[in-house]
Amino acid sequence: MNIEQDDPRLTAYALGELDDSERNEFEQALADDDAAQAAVQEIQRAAEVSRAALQLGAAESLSEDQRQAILLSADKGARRGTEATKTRFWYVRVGWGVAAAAAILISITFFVSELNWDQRAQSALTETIDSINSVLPNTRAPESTSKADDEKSFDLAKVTALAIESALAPGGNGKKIDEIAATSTASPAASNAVTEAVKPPDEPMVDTETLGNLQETDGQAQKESSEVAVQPAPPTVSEHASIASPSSKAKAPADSASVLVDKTLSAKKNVSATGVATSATSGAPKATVAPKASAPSLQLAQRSVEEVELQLADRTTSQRKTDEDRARIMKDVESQKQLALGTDSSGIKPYKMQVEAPRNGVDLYQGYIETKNAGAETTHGNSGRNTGGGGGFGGESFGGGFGGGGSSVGNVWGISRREEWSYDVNGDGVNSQIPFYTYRSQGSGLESGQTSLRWSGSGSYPVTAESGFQSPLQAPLSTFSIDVDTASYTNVRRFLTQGHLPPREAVRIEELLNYFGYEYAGPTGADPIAVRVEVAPCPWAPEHRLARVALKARDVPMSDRAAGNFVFVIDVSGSMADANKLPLLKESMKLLVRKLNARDRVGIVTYRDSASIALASMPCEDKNTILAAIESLHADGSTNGEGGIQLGYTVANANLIPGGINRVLLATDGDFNVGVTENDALVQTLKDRAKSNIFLTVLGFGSGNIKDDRLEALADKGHGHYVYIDNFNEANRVLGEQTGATLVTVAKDVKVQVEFNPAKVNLYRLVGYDDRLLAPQDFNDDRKDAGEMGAGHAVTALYEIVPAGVAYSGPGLDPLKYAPQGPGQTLDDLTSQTRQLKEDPRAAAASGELMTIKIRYKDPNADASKRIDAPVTDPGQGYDQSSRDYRWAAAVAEYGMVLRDSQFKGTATIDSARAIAEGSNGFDPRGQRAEFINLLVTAKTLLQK
Amino acid sequence: MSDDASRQEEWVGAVLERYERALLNYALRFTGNLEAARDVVQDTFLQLCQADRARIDGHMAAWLYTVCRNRALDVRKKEGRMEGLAERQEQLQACPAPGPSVRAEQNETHAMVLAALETLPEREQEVFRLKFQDGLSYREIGQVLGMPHTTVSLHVHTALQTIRERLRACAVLTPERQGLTP
Repeated sequence: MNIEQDDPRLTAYALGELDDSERNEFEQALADDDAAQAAVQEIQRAAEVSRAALQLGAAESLSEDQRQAILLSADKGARRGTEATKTRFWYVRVGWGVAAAAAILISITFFVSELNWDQRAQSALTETIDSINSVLPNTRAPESTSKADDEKSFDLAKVTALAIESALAPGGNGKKIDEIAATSTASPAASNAVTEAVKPPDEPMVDTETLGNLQETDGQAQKESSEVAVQPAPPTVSEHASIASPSSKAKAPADSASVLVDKTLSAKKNVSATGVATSATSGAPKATVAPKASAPSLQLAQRSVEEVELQLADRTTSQRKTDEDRARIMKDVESQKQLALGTDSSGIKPYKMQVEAPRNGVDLYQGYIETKNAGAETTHGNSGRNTGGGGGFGGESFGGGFGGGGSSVGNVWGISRREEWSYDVNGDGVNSQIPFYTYRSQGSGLESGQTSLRWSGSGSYPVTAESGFQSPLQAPLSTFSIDVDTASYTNVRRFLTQGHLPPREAVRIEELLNYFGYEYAGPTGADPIAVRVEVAPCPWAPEHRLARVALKARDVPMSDRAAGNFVFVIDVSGSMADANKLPLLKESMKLLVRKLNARDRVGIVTYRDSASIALASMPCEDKNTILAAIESLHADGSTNGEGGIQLGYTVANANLIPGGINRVLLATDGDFNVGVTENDALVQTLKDRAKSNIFLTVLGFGSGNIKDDRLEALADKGHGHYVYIDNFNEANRVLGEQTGATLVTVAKDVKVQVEFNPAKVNLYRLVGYDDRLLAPQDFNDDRKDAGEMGAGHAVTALYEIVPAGVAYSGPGLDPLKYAPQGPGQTLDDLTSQTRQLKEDPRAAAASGELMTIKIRYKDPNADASKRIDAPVTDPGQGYDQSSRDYRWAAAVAEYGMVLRDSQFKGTATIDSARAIAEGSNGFDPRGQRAEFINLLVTAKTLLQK
Repeated sequence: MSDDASRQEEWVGAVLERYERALLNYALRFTGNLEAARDVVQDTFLQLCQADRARIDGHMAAWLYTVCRNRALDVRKKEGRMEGLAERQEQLQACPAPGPSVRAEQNETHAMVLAALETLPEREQEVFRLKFQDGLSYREIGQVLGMPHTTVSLHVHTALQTIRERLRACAVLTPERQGLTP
C-alpha cells in the first residue's frame, strides 16, 4: 500500500500524534514505502527546525506581583499561615564575625534571633545589599583611596567600610543611594526609609581623624585602620537611624562606627518589614504594586553578590597564609556566607563550606567554598602551608591515602566527619551554628608513581568500619535495616572495567549481593515478605557455617498495582551531556513510560542552574507527549540539585494520588552539591513527603565525581532506593524489567533482627550492611526508619557463624579465655548468663535452634509495624548440597571481601570466588552472572599489577 | 491554613511555573503588547484559581490555552488591532544568503521558517504555532480552536508541507547541510 504524500497521517505519525491502533496500521504501510519513510524523516526535521525557530522569542514572564496575586488567589483568601510560611520563613541566626574589620569596627554583631523574613522582604534586602555592593567601587571619594590602594586584600572590612562610606558620603553619592533605595524596594515607603537612613548630610560632624582616634581608643587599631578611609559622618545619623529602627537605642554618632553599621542594617531590616506589609496588603487580585523600573531579578542579584563574595574570598585566601590570617579568612568567609544565607529567597542554603583541619599534624590545610545557587557550582580551593595548629577550627578528618603517601594534597583521599562547627567571635556568648559539610576529596585520579591501581580520585564514599565477630553471649541480637540498593555493584564494575581497583569503601558487599536475581520463592501467606534461610559450610573458612538470610517481597503484576504519580527530576546540567548520562537516561525513561498504564501520571522537572517543569504532570494516556518531552531534554548549564528536588516534590505533591504510588525519580550524575544532614531543609522535605507517601528513587548516571554516599543517603531519607545505571542493559534491568520493584513499595521500614542461640553459636558476623546496622532497641521502635522493599525485591544477607565448640582467633578479637574451646563442653560450662538461659524453659526448648530471624515491616501506607518470626535450625547441610543461589552469594561475598581487602576474607581469593561462581552459574536470564565472571577476571588482572 | 488551600496553591504554583512563559508568548501573539499580554495571562490564572481542578486535570494545556485565547481575543477586540507582530515579520527574509558560521546558518533557517509561516493562511498559522511553539497535541489544539482533531491534522500537515518545500528549496534539509559540512 502506497502512502500519498498529502496523507496527513504522515505528519501525524512523524509527530507522534497517531493513536496506538492507527500507528500500528500506519507503520505496517510504512514498512515497505521508502518514499513515505523519507517523507517522515523530512517532516521530523522540518518539525525540529520549526520548533527551534519558534522558541526564539524572548521568554517574558509575569511580574512578581502578578504571580503573587495569583498564588494568593489560589489560597482562596485563606491566610498564608502555618505550612506554607514555615518553608518560606527564614530563621536567621546571623553572627557577623569580622576579624579584619577590627580596623574600624571591633566587631559587629548583627544577630537576629529567629527573625521571620518574608521571601519578598528577603529579596528586597538582597537587592539592597547587592546594589550597595555593586556601587561601592564607584563611591570612593578620592581622598579615601590613597591608602586603600595599597591594601589589595579586599575583605569584608573594606566592604563594610565602603558600605558605611557610601551610606554617609555627601553630595553626589547621595544620588546613588537614592537610586539604590529606589531600585531595591517595592514600596515607596520602604524606599523612603532607606533614603532617610542614608541621606547625605549637609554638614559633616565627625571627621575621619576623630573616628580614627576613637578606633584607637578601642584598642583595636591595626594596620588596616588607617587604610580604610571613613567619610565625614552626618550630624543626624542617630536620628536617621532611629527613624529606620525605632526600637534601637539612639546613640551618639561618634559612639562607634559599628553603631552606624548597625543602623544601616536596621534600616535594611526595616525595609524588609515594610516589604512584608506591602505584600500583605496586596492580597486582592490584580493589586499590582510593581514599580515600573523593575529591580533586577533576584537570581541575578544573588549571583552578583556571590561573585563579589567569591572574589573576596579568593583574593583573600591567595594572599594570606598564616594561621591568624586563616582564622580571619574563615571568619570573612563565614560572614559572607551569612550574608548569602540571609539573602537567599528559596529557603535553601546557598553555601556549603568546608575546611579541613590539619590532618594528623601534617602541615597542610585546605579550604573550600562551594557555592550552589543561581549559577555554576564554583569551587574555590586553597591550600598552603600551615605553620601552627588548627587555628581553632573544628572538623575532624580521617580516612587515609589509598595506595599513595600523604606527601601531597593531591593523593590524599579522605573524608572529614560531619561536624557542627561553632565559634564565638564576639565574645557575646552567641555562637553561630554552621552545619559543617563534610566532603571534598582531592586529586584527579591515579597518582604517578603509585604502586597500586587503587583509585584515589574524586568521588565520595563513607568510611565505615567493617563489623567483626560478635559473641551471642555479649550481643545476642544482630539488627540491621534492609538495603535493596545495587548501586555499589555497578559502580565497582565501572571502576574495574576502566582499569582501576575501586576505593574500598565503594565496595558495599550487601549491594553486590543484592544486585543479582535469585530464585527465592515469594511469600505465600498474608505477609508481603518471605524469609528464606540456608546454612552450609563457609567457603572461605570451612570450619565456619555461612547462613544466608534472604527476604523476598511479594511480586505485584504491573496490571494489579495502584495508580502511580511519578515525577522525574532530571539533572540537565552540562555535565549530563555525555552519552552515558542524559541520552542513556532518556532511553531509560522511555522504557519506563512504555511500561506505565493510562491511569498513571508522569511529570518531568529539570534542573540546571534553576529548576523548571519540563512536563507538567499528565496522565499516561498520551504517552507520545511524554515521550516527546523526554526526547526534547538536553543538557547544558550548571547544577542546582536541591532546587530540582524541591520542585519535583512540589509537583508530586500537587498531583498526589492518595493510596496510590507517589514517587519522585531523581536522575543525576551525582555531581551533586547538596549536603545531607538531619536538619537540612531538603532532608526535611524528603521526610515530610515520605509521610504523605511520596517516595524517592535515585538513579545515578555517569562516572567521575559521583557522590555515591550522598546519593545513597538521599535515597534513604526519601524512603527509597538508589540504583546506578551505567549502560542500557542496566537501565532495562532497573526500569524495564523490574519496573514493579523500582516503583511499587510493598513494605517499608523493613528491619531484620537475628537472635543467635549461644548454645549453637560461638561467634557470628554479618557480612556487609556495615552502614545499615541498627541498635537492638531500634527494631521495635516504629519511629526508626529503615529500608523499603519494592514488589519482587529480594534482599540477601550473609552471616558467618563460628559454631559453638569451634575456637576462633581471627582478626579483631582475642580468643575467649573462658568460652568453650572444644567439643565436649556443655552449657553447664558457660557463663551464668547462659546458665540462666538454659534454665529458661523457652530458651531450652529453642536450644536446638541456631537462630531466630525476626522481621519488622510496615505496609506502605501504615504507621504501625508488623512482625514475622522465623526460627532457624541448622540441619548440618554440606557444601555440596547447598543451592546454586547460596553458592553464588558466597562467591559474590568473596569477591567483595577481596576487593575490600577485608580482614575477614579468610582463604578467599579472586580465583576461589571464580571457582564457586563458575560452579553455580545456572539461572542467568540476563547474563549478569556471566558478566560477573568476566569481572572476576578483570579484577584478578588488576590485583596482580 | 487548610491542606486544601496549600495544595491548591502548590498546584497553581506548579502550573504557573510550567505555563507562564508559554502562555505569555501566546497571549502576546494576540495583543502584541507585553503589558496587555501579562494582564491576559494573569486573568487566565486567576480563573484557574477559581476552577474546579478535577475538571481541568488531564487537559490542563487545552483549558489554559482556551481561556487565554478567549481572553486575549476579548482584549484585542476592545483595544484595537494586533500590532508588534507585523514589525517582527518585516525583518524576516524569504531565503537569505548563506552565512559563514553554523550559528548564522541556523538563524537563517529559523528566519526562513518564520517567513514561510507568515505566508500561510491565518488558521494554519495558528494551528502551526500551537503545535510547534506551544507543543500542544492535535487533540488539545482541536479543543482550543474548537475543531475536530482531523482538521488540526490536516492543517499541520499542509503547513508543514509548505515549510518543507521552502526548506528544501534552500537545501537545508539535504544531508550535506544537515551534517554541517562546509
